[in-house]
Amino acid sequence: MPTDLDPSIPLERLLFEAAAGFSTHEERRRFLDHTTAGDPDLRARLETLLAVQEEADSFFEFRPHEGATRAESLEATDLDIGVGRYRLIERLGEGGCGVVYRAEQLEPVNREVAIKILRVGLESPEGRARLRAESQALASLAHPHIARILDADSFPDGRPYLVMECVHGTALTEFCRLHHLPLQSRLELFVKICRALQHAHQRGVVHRDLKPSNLLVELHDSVAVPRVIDFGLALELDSRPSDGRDLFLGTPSYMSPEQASESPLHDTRSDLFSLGVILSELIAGPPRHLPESLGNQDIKTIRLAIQQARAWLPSKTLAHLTPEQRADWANLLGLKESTLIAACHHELDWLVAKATQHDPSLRYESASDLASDVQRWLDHEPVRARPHSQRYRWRKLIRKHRVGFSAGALALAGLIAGLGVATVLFFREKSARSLAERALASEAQLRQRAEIRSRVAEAAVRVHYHDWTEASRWLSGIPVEQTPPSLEAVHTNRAVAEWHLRAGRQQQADERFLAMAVALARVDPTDTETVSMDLLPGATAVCRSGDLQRYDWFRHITLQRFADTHQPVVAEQVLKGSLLRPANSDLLDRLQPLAMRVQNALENHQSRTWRDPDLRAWSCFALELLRFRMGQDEDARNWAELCLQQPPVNPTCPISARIVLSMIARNQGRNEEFELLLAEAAQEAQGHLDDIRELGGTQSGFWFDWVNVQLLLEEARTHR
Amino acid sequence: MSDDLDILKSAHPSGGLVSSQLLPLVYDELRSLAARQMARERAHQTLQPTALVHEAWLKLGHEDLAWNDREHFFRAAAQAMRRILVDRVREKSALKRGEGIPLLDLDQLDIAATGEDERILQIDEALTILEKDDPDVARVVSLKFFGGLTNKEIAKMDGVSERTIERHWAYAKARLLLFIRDAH
Repeated sequence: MPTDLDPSIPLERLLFEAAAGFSTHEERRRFLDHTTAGDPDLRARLETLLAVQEEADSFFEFRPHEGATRAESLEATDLDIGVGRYRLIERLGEGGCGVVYRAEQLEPVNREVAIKILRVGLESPEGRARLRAESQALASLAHPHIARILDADSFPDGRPYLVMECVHGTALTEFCRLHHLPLQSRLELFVKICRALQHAHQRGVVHRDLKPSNLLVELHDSVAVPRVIDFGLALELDSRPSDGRDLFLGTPSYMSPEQASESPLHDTRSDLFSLGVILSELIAGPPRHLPESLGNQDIKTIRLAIQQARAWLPSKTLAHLTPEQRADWANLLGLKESTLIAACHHELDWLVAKATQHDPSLRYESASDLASDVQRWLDHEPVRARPHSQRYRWRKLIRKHRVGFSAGALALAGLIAGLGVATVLFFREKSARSLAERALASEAQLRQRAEIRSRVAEAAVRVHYHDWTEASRWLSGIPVEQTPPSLEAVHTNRAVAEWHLRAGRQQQADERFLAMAVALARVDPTDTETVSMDLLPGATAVCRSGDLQRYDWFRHITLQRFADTHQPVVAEQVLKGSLLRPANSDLLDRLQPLAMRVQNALENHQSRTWRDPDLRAWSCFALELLRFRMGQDEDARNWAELCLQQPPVNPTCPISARIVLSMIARNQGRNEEFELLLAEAAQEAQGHLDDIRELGGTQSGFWFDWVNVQLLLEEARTHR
Repeated sequence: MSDDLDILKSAHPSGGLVSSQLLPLVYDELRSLAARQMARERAHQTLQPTALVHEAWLKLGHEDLAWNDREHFFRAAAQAMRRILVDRVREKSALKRGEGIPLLDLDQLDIAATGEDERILQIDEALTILEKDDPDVARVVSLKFFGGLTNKEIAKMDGVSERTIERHWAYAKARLLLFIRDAH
């Protein structure tokens, strides 16, 4: 028996732990052969121990339901919280502000939940009333990337609790590391997370403790799905506990300077700061702007350090790694070291810089702004250099009215710019201060709008669970013209519309598309492709409904909204969507800059438009269509020819091009050619047009692509 | 109650209470919590160690307590919880057999010893033996099973990696099971 080991460590345990670590029986056997040679008793014991592991695991399992079946066992010592009844299963962990348990909910529904119980009780009745109001906001968050809060209130003794969906995922940074996610994928995940935060901010909820461990990632069918958890800190706490304790909540590395001050002042921009740090971490590794030893210091020192520190930009973090570490890291991201560093210097640094500005008013306006800029980087588009002038005005207004922590502020900043008439919706005013300075609508209107917003939220949840009938019901209750200007309204209406479409209910589908169009035209000005992707279906649906006035209105609003887009893809969508019917010279003029964008993109062999055959073809078509509407037949022909030269991807593209070409021929008096081209196109389209119910795709043509073909055919046929 | 808190508070600056001072405090608290919990309920009660320790921690714990005080608390709580559970089970069987005076004030009892009760006793017995043999590992069991701590927390307390605690836990379970199997 080997004797050169520390005698205080039991040998048996040592050997067991080592043996248990081997993954094959062969390895284990060899290990035991070697280490227990000459001691068959020891060996026998070890083998027995190793053999009973599974049984032992099951014996020691935490058993929530001991003693009785479900029907009889309700009387066990469960927690009664709100209207629910819960059985604590195990502690998941303890944080700075409370404890989290995994629990089983027994009533009213049976499911697994996580319960967070905060340790700081609320002492005043006002505090508790505030809490209840905040909980409403929390419970109203319905977003696929936010873990649902199921209940939030406080115990009779004042301790707040949160019941939330139990999320089994891996922390963001760990997930990225484990799955060797390349830089692009990491940023795509990040964008999703930002959008989720935007959803929360729009409802007046600030997270306040964003960090990788609160951003869990689940794998659903090999798709990475981020879930933001632990909005628990968002619960309002008494800012000055009566016993004079100093309240410090948050995670130092990710905290914004203003959060760390003696009287913390923060709103959505504090969350943005945290997001900035996380972004930097995804690009360059863990944050290092605070000294390691800080964790052991007293609170005052910690506060000071956070307030004075400046978040590190990715290139700085990278520069502080050893060459070996840097090489490893770049390898993990799937990039050459030089590429990564160059990317940091060009724009990635800048993104982080803007998000982590010391002065909150200099940061991004909103989480979706940050998301858009990251998305722009991903799309190789230039990131935004300076804020929109309109926003600057709002920023000054916000700074003037910013409310401190002690009065229980909810987010104000960043949601106002660009919303026009609907501004007031996103305020949650809690103090008695009058709304006169800020409100643009009357009390009744406010209430109605709030009610409408909650209908959309309800619909969104139903959509998430594919409860289409209910979702449709919720949405139908909203007058189309009053569809709120939110991305949520856009997406829920679209989802329900497509459901109607699949079932052949064209009229209902069109109604929903119209509502979607209304929302789309007014939603906050994020210049992303995703928003514009809903544009074309919206335009098509409105146009098909035959209501020319509405179509006109729609394309005017769309143009207003997307007029200064920098994205050729968006420009192309706008062109197509706006020209399904003839247009007046005013509209055509306004489309010119967009046409320029598309044209430039076609000439630039670096652009995405050029590199993607589908986009190339559609861009040519868009320009053909525009020239045709403008009566510039020769130019239109050239573009048509170019379009038809492209390798076919979406079949509707060449068909559409030919239909328009036929009309050009007619304009030029070549009637035979006109008839020929038209007949050809019609024949090709025939099979598909009979039953446009399938939603389709890029390769087979989306449903709206086919409807557009139909619309063009109609136009060609009627002017005979 | 507030006296306890004062004791804890006053102890803090000098670096925390010793386990032996804390234990009776925690024990009393847990005992009264357990009694209160059962008094509220009808038959078929199973004590939930996790919930009880949580309650006790919230009452006695204090966010300003230094980490090693917390450590002490949970160690004490785990010990206390174990004792309470075992006492209760023994009491139940004693009453079943018609002997002894209840330590806790119980209204009604489930007459048949449930699987859970037996399990508690078995684990307690086995653990007592293990403690003599390998106190480190036995402590992990105590903290995890009776104290409801996570691997991560225990790892932090001991200044080792979570993996180490996982391994200890695996070993402990196997060994305890063998004891139990052999004993019956």
